[in-house]
Amino acid sequence: MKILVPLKRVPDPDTRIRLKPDGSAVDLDGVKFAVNPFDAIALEEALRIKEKLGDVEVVVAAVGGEECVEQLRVGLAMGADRALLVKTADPLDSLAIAKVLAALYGREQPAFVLMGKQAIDDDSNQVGQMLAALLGIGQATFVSRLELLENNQKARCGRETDGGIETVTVRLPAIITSDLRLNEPRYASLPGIMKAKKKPLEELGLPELGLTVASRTRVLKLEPPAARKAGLRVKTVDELLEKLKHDAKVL
Amino acid sequence: MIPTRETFGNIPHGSVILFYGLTVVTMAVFAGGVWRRVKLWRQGASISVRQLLAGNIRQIWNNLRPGIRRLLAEGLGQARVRGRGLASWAHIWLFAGFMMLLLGTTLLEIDHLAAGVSPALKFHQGVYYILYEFTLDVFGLLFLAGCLLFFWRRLRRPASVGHRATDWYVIGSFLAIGATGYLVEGLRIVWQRPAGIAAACSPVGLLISQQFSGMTEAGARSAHLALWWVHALFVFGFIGSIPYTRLLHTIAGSLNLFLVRPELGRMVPVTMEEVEQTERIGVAAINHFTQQQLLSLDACMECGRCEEACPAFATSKPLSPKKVVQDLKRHMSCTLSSRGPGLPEGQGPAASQPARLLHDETIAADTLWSCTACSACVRVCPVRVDPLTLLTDMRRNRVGESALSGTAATALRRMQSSGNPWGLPAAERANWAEGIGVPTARENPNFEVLYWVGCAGSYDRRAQRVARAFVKLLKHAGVNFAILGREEKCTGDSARRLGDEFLFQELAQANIATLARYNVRRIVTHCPHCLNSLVRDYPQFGGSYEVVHHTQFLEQLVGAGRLAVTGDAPPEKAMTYHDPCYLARVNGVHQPPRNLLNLVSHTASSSPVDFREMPRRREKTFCCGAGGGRMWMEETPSQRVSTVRAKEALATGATTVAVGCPFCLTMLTDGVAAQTDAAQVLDVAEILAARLKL
Amino acid sequence: MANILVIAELDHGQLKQATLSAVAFARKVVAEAGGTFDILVLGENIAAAAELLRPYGASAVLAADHAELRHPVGDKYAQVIAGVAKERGSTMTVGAASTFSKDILPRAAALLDAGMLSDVIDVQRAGDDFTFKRVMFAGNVIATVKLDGVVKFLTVRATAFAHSPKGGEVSPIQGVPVEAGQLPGFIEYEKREAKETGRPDSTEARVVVSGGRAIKNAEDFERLIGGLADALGGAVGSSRALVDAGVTPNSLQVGQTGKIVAPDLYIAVGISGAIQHLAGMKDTKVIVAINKDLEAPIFEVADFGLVGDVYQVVPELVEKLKK
Repeated sequence: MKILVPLKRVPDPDTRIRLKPDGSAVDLDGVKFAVNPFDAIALEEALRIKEKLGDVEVVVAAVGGEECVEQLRVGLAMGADRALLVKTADPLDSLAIAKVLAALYGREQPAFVLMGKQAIDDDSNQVGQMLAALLGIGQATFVSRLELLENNQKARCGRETDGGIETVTVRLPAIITSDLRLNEPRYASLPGIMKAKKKPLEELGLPELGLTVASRTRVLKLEPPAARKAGLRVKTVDELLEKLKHDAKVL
Repeated sequence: MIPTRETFGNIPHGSVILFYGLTVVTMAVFAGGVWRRVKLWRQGASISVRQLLAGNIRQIWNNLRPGIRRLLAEGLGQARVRGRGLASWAHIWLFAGFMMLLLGTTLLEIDHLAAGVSPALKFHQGVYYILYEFTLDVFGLLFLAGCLLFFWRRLRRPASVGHRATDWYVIGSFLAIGATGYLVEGLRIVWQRPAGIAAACSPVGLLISQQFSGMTEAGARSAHLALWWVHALFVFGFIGSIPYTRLLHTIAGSLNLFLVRPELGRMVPVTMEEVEQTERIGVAAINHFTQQQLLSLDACMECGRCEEACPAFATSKPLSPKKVVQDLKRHMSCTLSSRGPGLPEGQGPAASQPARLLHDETIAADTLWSCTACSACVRVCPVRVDPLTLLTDMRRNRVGESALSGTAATALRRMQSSGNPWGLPAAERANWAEGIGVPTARENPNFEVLYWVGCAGSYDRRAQRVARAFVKLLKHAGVNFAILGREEKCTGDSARRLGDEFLFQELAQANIATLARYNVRRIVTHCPHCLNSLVRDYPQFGGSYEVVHHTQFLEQLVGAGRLAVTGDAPPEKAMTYHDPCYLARVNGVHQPPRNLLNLVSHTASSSPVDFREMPRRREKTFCCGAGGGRMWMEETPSQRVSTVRAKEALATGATTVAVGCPFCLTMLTDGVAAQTDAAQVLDVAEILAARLKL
Repeated sequence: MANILVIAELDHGQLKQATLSAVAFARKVVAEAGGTFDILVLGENIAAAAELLRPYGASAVLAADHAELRHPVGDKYAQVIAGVAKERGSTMTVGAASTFSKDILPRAAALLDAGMLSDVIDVQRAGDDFTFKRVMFAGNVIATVKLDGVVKFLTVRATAFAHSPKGGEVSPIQGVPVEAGQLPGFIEYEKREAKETGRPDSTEARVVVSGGRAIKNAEDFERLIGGLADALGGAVGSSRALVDAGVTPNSLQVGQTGKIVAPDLYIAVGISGAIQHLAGMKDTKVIVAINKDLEAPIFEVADFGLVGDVYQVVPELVEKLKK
């Protein structure tokens, strides 16, 4: 069985994001990058399935520049068998990425795709669902519990929804997107990453996949949210409520 | 008649031949048994013993001297056996008695051989004989006393001591050897009939002979011969059984005492090249341990001191250092071939069992991660077995194989991305010092001493108060100091003890470069973990500094008159001090904080604050539970190490618990707060600063 | 000219209020750029819900009422929505941001080869087109973006668009025919386990109210912390001290060895603010601390701090919020 796990290269989750003064982009000076935490969770789930069933190939894939190899190596260090990098020059939005992944899916024909529900930089939560539509297959999103059934023909998934955990059974192949509580990913340290250099990593271009895609989303400007005022001592409940409603605008 | 007795007196020639023959057989069995174990040990990673013998005579002597000194002081001198009450006495007496008897037998044989060469060479007579016989009689009693104590103890089955079927055989043999020895002596006296001092010099033998006064000479002689054989057979049995019973510790333990590198808090570095070559890091299989580590597994005689000292074991976690060593030993015996290397694994004596894995099967993950790296087990082991290094070597492999997940892994990830385990921005590391006039090394490059603040002091609001108190004291004393500020990164102590060697090296190398840039020579820190890392880990990568704990530094300031303690004593009723593991046990610093607290407690006018000591103090201190990366892992409320220690502290009646470590501060604050509102936990610097009204 | 399709969200047949924020968004766009909007309701026996949506100025309330749509299953809903959007010629299809809309709308968008933007908090006309503001980097960055393409799909943050008041006009209800045989069947809905108290999980809630050592027992925790959380529609959390004392279960613990949360609002009630706890909520947007100890470290990180007895402050807060 083959499981395809797309990974995204994102700034480290603990980084304090700073913007360039002109608001044109994020200031990446000194920023460390990591595998998108939700994707790491998806990969961890795929690896656990592999450990349980045995005859499973876990393929990690990234779409982007050469720098994504760093994250693919982390995926391989965690235990994936093979990595694919689709090299693109320009940043692509959700629909474009979904199209690239759909072409990759066509090439790899996995039993299903496990991916993070959203990337912590873009926070769109769209690619998985779009990919499922393009491929005309089922989807199970925000999954925190996953169980393969009927000789791996179906997956029973617990989905984290606003109203509670919803259980659905989806026919495979399908796109399954992971939520935070699915598992805790293993930590890949440097020796594992070094060993991962021996695992196969293939680079592809869009022409090889027979694709041309372009992003329809254009970022015009980036700005921080309203500045946080320094800590204020309030004396009464009324004062607190007023500040929360009008100053902080969280109520 | 000159006091003497004939060696092999009353023993017919045939018996003597048989005796020597059996001696040869016994030695062969003994040597064969030991050699079988040696072959197992040799399958470990090499430890370049050859290096010890490299160089000229003086260099070789310098290489060998520490080991020899340990053999003499700890082996012969039984220095590490002390500290366990009656059990220690039992062993010391048994050992002293046995060694003396062994010496005596050896001397006897030398005399016998010398006499064979020429009667003039005989020395076993006269005054020598009198002293010899008397000494041996006394030491024989000592030997028997030790054996009886051990026998009685074994009957009572203390929980921490191991029990094997062969144990009764061993203790039984010893008692038999002791008893028959005296019986043989007594019967010899009956048929030899020595007079005066020649008889009185063997008081026990004499007493025994008087019980057989009715025997004929012939009767005595045959009884003597019979018992002599019984005695001899028990002795042969004992010697031959050494490699197959608990007694192996005599050989393996001595070897271990000689070979071990005895520094606490030390870890062996690994290079990337080694990892690339061997395609692994740390220990994944039993033969990845060094030969010395494997032989140390046989040195363990299951006395259980390590288990009694272990904070994880004390809180019902699935970790007992003794069990780890014994499980590894059993695994070694089953997995490594006793016919030597080169044979496939699983062909050893228990080849019918499938080859077991080291990780998860022999040593469970929970066992591995329960350790707080407090080094108590390493300190107490009489034969210097080091269960801590066995565990950290295995941890290295688990981390390298991506088998660590959860909150500890998150902390490691954060150390890597942000230079602190909480993932707080590196740019905010010096925010605690804002507005209180703390110069950075960049601003004040001519500092006398660098204050290494550490992650807790920088980010943990509680620990920041300690840092600020210490800074106030430094300024009050007019010390020319600086901090690294934002350029400081986590020392990497937790990372290294969790097993992430390369994350540690990355952090260490960054810090060493920064320290070099500012030409740092002297460092003071309030965190014992940082201190240990700077002192013991960093020199492995070229960073060499003079590092003191803040209590040592403050004590020096007081001594130099730069800090004067005047005014009223604090209003506390009673105070106690919790020795941090990494300060008191691993680095031997426990008096300076006491001196400071003593100063603070006393005043010319009012009565002093009552200073109480906890039972487990100084090098014997009991861990707070945060070391070994455990700070980043969860414990269930019933299993909190900090609760155990907090109870011990509060049991002294103290209302103030003084600490000298930010980890201890966090753990004990939680631990104490869960028991009572009436006690507080403060760092020594805070107590001193308050006393000086800073 | 805009032609907007608002997707209403129902929960067990009840209309979710956030839908009205999506309606408000549609009204704003229509007010600025001209055009009309429809509201689409999907489900089974949805007549009552559809009725509630009539007084908001939609040109039609479309009701796709069918047994197959009883549960909001992604493949079926997306197909129906895509079909309606195509048929109506909708240039924008929008829903209030929720797990419902996030599951379904991207799929519907891709079925129509349309781009999508999520968590939109503002829209401005820009010539023939629009610029949108949306939230990125867990709320730390506001991006102004344009989305090319005639057909756009969006989810909007309910807190950014105040509900429209009801108007005099009454929109007609139009039935949407649903061909059961044409619906996909990849996903089978089994059940939903409502959370024990209906509260969200702290890792995903917008508001988290957390209790510490000051709370004496489980009843007080439920009354004060639970009560305040419910008044704010938030989740509950706890410091380790309460878990140790057996007042709260371990699943509620927020901290370096518990849950890591990043809500918009975190109210720390009777929590001292030790770093182990802070490490679990440091990415909160707004931190409020209520504690009787004015030396507690939590006040150093809180945006708003109220020194007082939690047993007095919290009930007062709950009472005033309910108004």
